[in-house]
Amino acid sequence: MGTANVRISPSLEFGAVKKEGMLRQTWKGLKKNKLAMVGLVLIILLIIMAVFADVIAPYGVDDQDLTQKFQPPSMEHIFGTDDFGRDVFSRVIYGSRYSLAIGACAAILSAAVGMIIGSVAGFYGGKADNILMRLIDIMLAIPSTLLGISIVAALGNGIRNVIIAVAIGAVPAYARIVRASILSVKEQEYIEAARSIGASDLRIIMRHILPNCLAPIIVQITMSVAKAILEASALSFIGLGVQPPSAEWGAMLSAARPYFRSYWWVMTFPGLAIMMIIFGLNLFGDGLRDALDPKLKS
Amino acid sequence: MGEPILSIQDLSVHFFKDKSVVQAVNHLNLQLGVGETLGLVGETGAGKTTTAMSIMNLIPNPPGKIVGGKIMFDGEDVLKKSKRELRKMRGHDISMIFQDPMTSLNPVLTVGDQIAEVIRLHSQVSRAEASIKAQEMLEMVGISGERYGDYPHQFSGGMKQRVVIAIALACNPRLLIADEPTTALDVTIQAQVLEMIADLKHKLNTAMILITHDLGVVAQVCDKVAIMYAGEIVEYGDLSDIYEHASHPYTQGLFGSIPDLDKDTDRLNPIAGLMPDPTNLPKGCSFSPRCPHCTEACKTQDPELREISPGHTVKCLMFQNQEE
Repeated sequence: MGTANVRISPSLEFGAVKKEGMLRQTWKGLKKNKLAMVGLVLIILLIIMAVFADVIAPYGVDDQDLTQKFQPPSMEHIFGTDDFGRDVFSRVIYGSRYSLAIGACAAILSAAVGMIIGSVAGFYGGKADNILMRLIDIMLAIPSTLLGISIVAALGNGIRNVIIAVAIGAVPAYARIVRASILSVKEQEYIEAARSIGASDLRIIMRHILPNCLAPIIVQITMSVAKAILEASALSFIGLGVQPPSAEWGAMLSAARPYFRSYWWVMTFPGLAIMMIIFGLNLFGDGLRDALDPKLKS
Repeated sequence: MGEPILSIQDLSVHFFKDKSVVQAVNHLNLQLGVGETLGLVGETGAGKTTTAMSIMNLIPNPPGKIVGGKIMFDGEDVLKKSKRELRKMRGHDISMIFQDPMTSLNPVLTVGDQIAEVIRLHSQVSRAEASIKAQEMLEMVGISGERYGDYPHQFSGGMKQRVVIAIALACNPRLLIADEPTTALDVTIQAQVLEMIADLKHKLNTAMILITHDLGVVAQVCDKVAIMYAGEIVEYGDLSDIYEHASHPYTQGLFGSIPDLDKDTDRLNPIAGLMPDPTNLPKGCSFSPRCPHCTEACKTQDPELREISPGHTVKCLMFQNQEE
């Protein structure tokens, strides 16, 4: 460290600032984490499956062949066929589209709403906090599956309504996490410092507080994608979400349920698909949390 | 002293807790001229930081409340400004250096971005221009501009405090409030940082309020000194008034408790007793319970500030009675 009045490099040319981006740093940390990479591979597989379903799937999603019904897994049908002779593998591949859409949309929607509610409640405190958090408490008092069922029942079936139902159920978790993080961060001296340079409330929340709460929010997002996929599948399974002819994983489970004892593969593979993607998302979420923590950066 | 840039009149700040009222600042008067440096000295809990936060109108409300007085900055009452005007003032006209550089920088933003932020908040410049100015500020406080993209945890305590100083001075404020800027630093770094503050202040002709409990620091940097006790200024004057003619018993006590290098003493001479409970200040003079010269009158009568020589005021009955 130089002394106070010595310019260390007076000839330095000022110019565009070279800065190692946050993304790159996070990626560096993430790469070291083997489990997170496994999770990431699973997620990327899901995305590839969803995007290139037409190319990957050996059969059409609704191609029926009644002569081939209930075929066990073989070279021809690696996951076997179901009661209409449809290829289970192809249907699992197509099903990833529903899962991806529902998971991502529901997580983004609930994160946005939850973050707004949590930020306002945590930052302003007092009455705003009380009113908002009591509303959240009411929502928390209703089991999220029950809440989902009621919302779909009220709004009707269909993928959009499933997304809304699942998202609403996930809002309280976000609101609470964001509020708690904001409460701990807003008392920090650098927030006072931000006020003392004349930053507005919105700026303080968006630029100074939320980035400091990012780690738990990111983890929550990945976890809630997983939860949303699971819940949407559950809704479909009980016949309220995406309806059976569609190749949604939960709907496939539901349709295969009567034959489970004789033809295990019809139900097992969609179930495994759900499990793997949730496993992947959770692993990735944990890895991301570690990589995003500024205290662990070097 | 020319036109005062800051003039605090009869300021009182109270904190309301459950049932009790903490009287943090009581009827405080203070003036500061353009380019002047004032040392605000007092024990922990004397109300120094509260006074500083009031100047920025940043007292957390609730529980704090400015219950009376005026704070005139540049002819305008800070306490009457709208939120928008306050935001414009903070960081641009008045800026603040906080006590602990470890916690006053945002850990997730690069130091350069944090300097650039204050520049972008107060002047219409592009992102690139702000980043160039921020690099210049870093150079000015003796840190290489190449470290723009580094995060606060990559800096040592002394360097972080320099970054904080760079943020505070980025918009050439007319008043700088330094709240114990060197308390969290070790002694060698303290000297560097103080020297730098004094140097930059001089260059930019900024007025400064230096809050500290270190009389040595004050002697090095300040023109005027105000001694605070229990939310009041008990003695105010220029350096020689305070250091050579300390008149208030509390100020004398403060100097008495500094060990003298020339004398071989085994024990320090502290001021007996503790600060009074700010929820229950004594009647009369607030220093009376600890004062070696306390009389019966001191316990009932609250003294007024009296000028004992030009520019040197003392709040003690001893001097009030002399005149009468």
